[in-house]
Parts: sequence; C-alpha cells; structure tokens
Amino acid sequence: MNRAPPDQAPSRWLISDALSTNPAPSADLGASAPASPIVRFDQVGLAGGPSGWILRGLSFALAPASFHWLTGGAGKTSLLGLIGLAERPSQGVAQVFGRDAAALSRKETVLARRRIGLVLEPMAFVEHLSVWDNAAFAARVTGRRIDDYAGDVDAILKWVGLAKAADERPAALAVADRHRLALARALVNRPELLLIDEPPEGFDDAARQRAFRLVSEIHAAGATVVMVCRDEAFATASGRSVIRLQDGRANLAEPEAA
Amino acid sequence: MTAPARGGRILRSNPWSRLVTALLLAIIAFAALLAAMADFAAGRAAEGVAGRLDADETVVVWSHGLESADAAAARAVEILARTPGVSQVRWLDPAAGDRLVATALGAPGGQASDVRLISVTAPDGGTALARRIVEALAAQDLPARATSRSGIASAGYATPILASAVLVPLLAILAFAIACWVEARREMARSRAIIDLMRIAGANPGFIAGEVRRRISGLAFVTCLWGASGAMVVAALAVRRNLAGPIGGLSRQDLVTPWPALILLLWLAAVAGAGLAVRSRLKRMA
Repeated sequence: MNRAPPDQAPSRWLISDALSTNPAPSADLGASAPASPIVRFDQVGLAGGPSGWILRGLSFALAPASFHWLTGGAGKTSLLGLIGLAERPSQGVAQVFGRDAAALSRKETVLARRRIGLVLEPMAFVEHLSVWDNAAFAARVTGRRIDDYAGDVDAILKWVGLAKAADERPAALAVADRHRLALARALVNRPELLLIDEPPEGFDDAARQRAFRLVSEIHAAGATVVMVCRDEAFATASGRSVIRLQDGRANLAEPEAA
Repeated sequence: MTAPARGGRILRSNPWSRLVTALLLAIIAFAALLAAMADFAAGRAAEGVAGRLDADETVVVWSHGLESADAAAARAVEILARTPGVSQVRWLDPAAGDRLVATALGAPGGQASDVRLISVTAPDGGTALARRIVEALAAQDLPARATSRSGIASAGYATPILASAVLVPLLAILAFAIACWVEARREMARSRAIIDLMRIAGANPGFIAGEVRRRISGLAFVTCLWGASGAMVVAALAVRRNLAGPIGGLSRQDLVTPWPALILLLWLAAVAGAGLAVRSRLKRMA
C-alpha cells in the first residue's frame, strides 16, 4: 500500500479557510454570541449501565474556540455522544450552540450535527467504500454535490497524510491511519465543534503526537475541541483545560494562570 | 483490494438475500402479467363466441329422457315458432353448434355432443324474452337454457374484469409491496451501523430514506422487467401453439398491452412498501 509521508507542512490555509467560511446554517439555530459558551451542561445525566447512571450531575461550560482534554473513568464516549447530539440526556439541560438539545426539532438537530465533527471509538467506516469516499462521507450525506466538496476532501486527505491511500479501503489502513481518516471525515463539513474520542490501542507515541499536532492546528484555526486523553499527567502538564470524569460526574479544571 | 475511488454506493446489500427477493418479485410480476394477458385472451374468446352468434337469443336444448338431442331440437323449433315476439327460428348445424360450445367452455372441439343450439331472432324481445322462451319450452316438458348474445359477451368480460382488473393485480401489487417492505426493513437492519453514521454526520432522514428507497425501487423495476419478459415468452409460445384459442383469443398485441400500466403499479407499490418500512424504522431510530 502506498502511504503518504508524514505531513511536514499542514495546510493552515485549508483549515483556517474552511473554518472561517463555515457554511453551517448557524442562523437557523440562533448561533451563540461570542461570549456565550458553545456548550453548556447543567446537571445533565445519562441513564444506563449497571448502576443506573452512566453520567450524572454534569455541569460545565465550554467557551468558543477553547480546547479541553477529557480524562478520567467510564463515560467519556457517552459524554462526547451527548455533546455531539448523538445521544439525548436523561436529565438536566444540555445546551449546544446556545440551544437546549432536548428542545431541538428533528431538522434543527440535523443542522446542528453538521456543525459538529465527531471521532468516536470504535471507529466505524463504510468498509466497502474507498478512503476518499469515507473522508467525503459527512459532506455527501448532507446532500452536497461532489463537485462542491471534492477539492476539500483532496486537501484534507493530503493534510492528514492519506492522499496516496485515497483509493484503498479503510480495512487496508493501519490503526493510526484509520484514526486520521476518522479525523478527515469529521473535518470535511468544517465543524465549529470537534469531539475526538480516545485513540485506540496500537497508537504509538509518534502517531499520538501527530494526531495531537493535527488537532492543535484545527483548534488554532478557531474550532472548539474536546479530546479524550488517557494520560492525565500529560493533559494536566499541557496547560490546557481538563474535564475529569469520576464516577459519572465531571470536574472542569482550568489551567492555572502563569 | 482497490475500492471504487469516488461516489460508490453507500448502502450495499447481501447479494444472496437480494437475489432471493429479486426472484420472489420476478415471480409475482410474472404471475401478474401472465394473468393479465390470459384475461385479455378470455375476453377475446368470449367476444369471438358472441360474434358468431348471429341471432338475438341462443337456445340450448339437450337429450332428455328417451328423447334424443335432435328430436328435442326439432320439437323446440316448433314450440318457439309459435312463441309471441319470435320472428325467426333456426336450428344450427350440430357441428357448428359443437364448435361454439367447445369455444365457450374452453373444451376441445370436434366431438359430437348431445347439446343442440337454436337461433332465435326476436327484434323486440328485450330481457324478458329468454325467460318466456324457457317457460314455453318447460311447459312442453322440454328443459332448455336461453342466452342472449350480449349476455355472453358481457359474461365473457365480467369474469376477467373481476379476476384481472381487481383481484389478480391487487393481490400482486399487495404482494409486491409487502416483499419490498420486508426487503427494506432487512436492508435497514443490515446497514444499521452505516445509517447511524449518516445520522451522526447530519444526514436528513429524507436522504437516508432516499438511499434505501432508491435501492429497492431499482430492484423492483428490474425484477418487473424480468417477470414481464418471462410472461411474454410464455404467452408468445401459447399463441404460437394456438393454445390461446384460434377464434379470437390472445393476439400478438396482447403480449405487450398490459405491460406499462401493470409495471407502473407494481413499481409504485414497491416504492410505497419500501417507504413505509424506512419511515417506521427511522422514526424508531430518532
């Protein structure tokens, strides 16, 4: 399999251009004012699991264009699902883009999901489609014409280092490459909010560093990022905000001022 | 293994399951089309019999007790000649009568029967004439039946219309819709993970439904063509071997006449069946 070399020069133009010209229909959802949080949870709970609650009493707010590590125990993927509107809260108020997720109509939910990039574990792809088609998936299913997004897909695949594997199937990719493909798919609709689950087993340090670098680029371009991190010491030392999950409850720790 | 680079199909069916559904749909379409063509043939055959009856009423008499069919017919001619309203009575040649009876009943002709046909001309007979004729013959201990030409023609059409225009196509359309409903549900269950991906990525329910419906309606259209082609071949063989009746049964034109309307109806049923299945599933997923 041909593999693209590691990205030495990520296309900042692509990412910044993509995010600055985000076509997501924010007007329909009453886009949040600059100062208001992009995500606000107030006593949010998600029922399920042996104890009856996967998550409970979650209260935090995420500012636009902020970066947050998500660490701790069980429930991280569920929390990303809640923020990403893949799940509905069982209790409390979960606001995304300034709107109560539970009050969104079906159409509004669809529009809001298009403003969110979600990389969940386990990574699911349409295995009979090519890497290119999988990267283009989120754009295609929103009904955009292929001519409209083909350039974006080519550029994103090049940026994540998968341009030469565009005609392969996802199954032919290594674990780290699949993770980058999931990232490419999450980026193709130019999301304002990027949620990234824990990288799978088989991710070496170099791959992890590379993934982090890519995500940092996206964040620097203006996206709000929530990224799961197993290594709590690394997350704390990074000087960024950390959401810690413990026994289904969250604690948001802001970095200490220098 | 290299995949198609651009714009491959998002949903992909299990080929065996799809083949089974395709065969089922093709058989339903085949049966529906063949039934429609057979009804055309029945209608034409009835019209052929009616066309050969040159009288207003045809009276059927048969051997009775010790009286032979010929003796019964001779006596009936005398009685009918005296019946009010009847202007002309004619005993049909037994061979010609047998051929008509065979045609009307769909039985092989050429065998002598104990039935005789008598043509009765009665310009002002009306609908009561047949009853008057039968009563007049019964009064002379001569059992008989009387049938008007228009009665034969309408009976010839009424049966196929009931069977074809209502029952057979309705059943076929219903079966088609159900088969497509089941296939759509199975397709959605098989593709659950991909459909979840679509939903999370911000696909409209209409887009997801369209993906499934497009696949089912494509399958339905192709299998309609298979079924119709099979029915046409069978009907063409029937015409070639004169199985459809040489006196006005199935014509070559009938091989293609029922196609467009019936295929359109079957296809619409497929789209409706698939649409209902997708809608209910998506509602449950939402």
